[in-house]
Amino acid sequence: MNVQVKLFGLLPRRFPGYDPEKGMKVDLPPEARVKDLLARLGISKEEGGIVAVDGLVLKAEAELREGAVLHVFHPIVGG
Amino acid sequence: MKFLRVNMTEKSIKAEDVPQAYRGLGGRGLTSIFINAEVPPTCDPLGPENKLICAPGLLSGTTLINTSRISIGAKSPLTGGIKESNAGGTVAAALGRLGITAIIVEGKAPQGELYVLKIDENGEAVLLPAQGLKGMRTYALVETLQKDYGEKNGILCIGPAGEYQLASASIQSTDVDGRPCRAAGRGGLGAVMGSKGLKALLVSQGGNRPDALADPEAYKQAAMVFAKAVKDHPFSGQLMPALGTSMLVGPINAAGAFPSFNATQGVLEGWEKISGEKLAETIKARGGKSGHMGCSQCIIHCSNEFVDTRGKYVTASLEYETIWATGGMTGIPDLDVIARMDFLCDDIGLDTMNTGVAIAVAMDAGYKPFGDAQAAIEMLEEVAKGTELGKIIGNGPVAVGKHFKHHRVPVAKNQSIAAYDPRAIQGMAVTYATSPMGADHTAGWVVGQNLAAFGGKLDPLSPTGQVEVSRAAQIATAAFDATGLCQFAATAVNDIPDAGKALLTLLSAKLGSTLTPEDVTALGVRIIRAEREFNRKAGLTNEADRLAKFFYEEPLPPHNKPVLVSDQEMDRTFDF
Repeated sequence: MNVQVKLFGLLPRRFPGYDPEKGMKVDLPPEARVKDLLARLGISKEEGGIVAVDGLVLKAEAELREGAVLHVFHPIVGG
Repeated sequence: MKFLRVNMTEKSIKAEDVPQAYRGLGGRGLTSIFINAEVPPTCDPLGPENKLICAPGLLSGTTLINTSRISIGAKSPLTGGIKESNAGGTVAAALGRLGITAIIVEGKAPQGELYVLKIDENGEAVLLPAQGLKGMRTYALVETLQKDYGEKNGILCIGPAGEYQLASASIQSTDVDGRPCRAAGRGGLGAVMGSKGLKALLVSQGGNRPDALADPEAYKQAAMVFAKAVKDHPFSGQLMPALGTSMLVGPINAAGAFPSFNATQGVLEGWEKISGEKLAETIKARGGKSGHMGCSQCIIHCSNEFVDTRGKYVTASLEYETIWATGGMTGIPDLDVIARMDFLCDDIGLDTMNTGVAIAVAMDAGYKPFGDAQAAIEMLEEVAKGTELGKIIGNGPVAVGKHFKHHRVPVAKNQSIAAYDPRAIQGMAVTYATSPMGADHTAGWVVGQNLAAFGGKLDPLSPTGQVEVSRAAQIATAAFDATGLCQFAATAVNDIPDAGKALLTLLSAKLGSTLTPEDVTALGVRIIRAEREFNRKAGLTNEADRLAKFFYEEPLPPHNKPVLVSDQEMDRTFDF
């Protein structure tokens, strides 16, 4: 399965040659879930992250679909 | 350990030992418990019976990093309830180094009289007549005060909005560069200061008589552990210095939770133009500053200095909530306009959030079109001039809604929401509605848990579990706001066990006791109890713990959900 990933914050720095306009294509096994994508991006459960598609945030167990454009962010803390 | 009581009716200043009832309290813990004890709940917030209390945190003035939050409390002219608004800058550390636990401003100077309260390096305080400063905006004001009294003073001050006693008036706080760009913005505390006849409070940064620590050696060791954890944590150590709070623009839009066009849309088209990434890129290209230090003893450096295309200073620091209120709510995704509005709010002495939302409500009501940058700036200038319309804008979104007979006013207890729509993150509905402060994101920020991929089962669009999460966050935050620590240092406390233990050691070593996590929770509960007790006596019962009606009736795109947390659920939040 192929998904398109757009990275934010300091995440682009981890992928030399990353194109902020287009994002990057990530090839995953069929029926991959959000946690598989994060693992592929080198983002551990401890580090955490936010994954959104079409204005909807996804939890780690959510299934991905072919061709989805995913936004990936750092975990956030605020106040 | 002393209180400075400044009576503006009598023009007297009295130093007194901190009464037993307030020992061991600081920051919000002190301001809220004090107000509940000493301010008549039904008093006129702008009358002589109200009291304005400025309290550094328990740990302010010590060697610990990031402890320069000043809590300012009073009965709020905006909400009609108790208020604590805290700000960074330099004053909290300066007061702590003088061993001053709180400054309490009481009474009221005769109408038209204006004063400056000056505290020197020995902690000696004087009230100085300041008629010449009347009407002065804050940047010119602090420049004058620094010229007259020296640059090594931390300053709290009000602008024209505070002098007009408007309900969105802020108290501005000087940063380490001496600029009045940090704000205790919420709840109209600038109006309370203005009603007293106090234009500014100067505190020498040269003090060297902090309260003794019960166990200096344990304190020193724990302070080192704490600082290392804050530096090591990726959020406080890397992300915040690189992007600052504006790093939230992306994820909150991606979650459909960025209230835009007066909270009629959850995604701002063109948000990429005002994102943290874009802000950092713009600042770098123009020669401004990111990773800038705003507050005394800060090692996080989340601040920035925004400059124009010629590299000239516009404002510091452009923050997420301001970007949202003045750019998202108004439909103006333009960093240059937002920066100008941020500067004007600081200079006039206005809460950027309440004011940005007030402008958005005026636009939504048809007074001016959304996206009209010139109109937005003109509305701010009207506030400074004190025109009839300016006073309506400066009194906040509810005043604007009443004037234009417009129903969509995004508030709780008359205070504007922040940059997380309660329909797209239902946990924020609970915090906004139930916080004794009115809609206040800092009172119990539950955004992270809702959006995190590994955030368990909490669904931002569902009410399930949100009351529990908000309750825990509000209690923990109330206790944390008593310490004087910046909330961005809290990340390390939550995520790194050694930092959490170090914080307990620091509090114990300061107070000479052995505190447990349960003691800290008990402090949070005690603070919220006091705040709710005051509010009840002031007439704000459970029925006040609700959001504006439209949030329950008008679904927010793209998720098309209203607020789903029932009134009964809201009332369960503080079932103690």
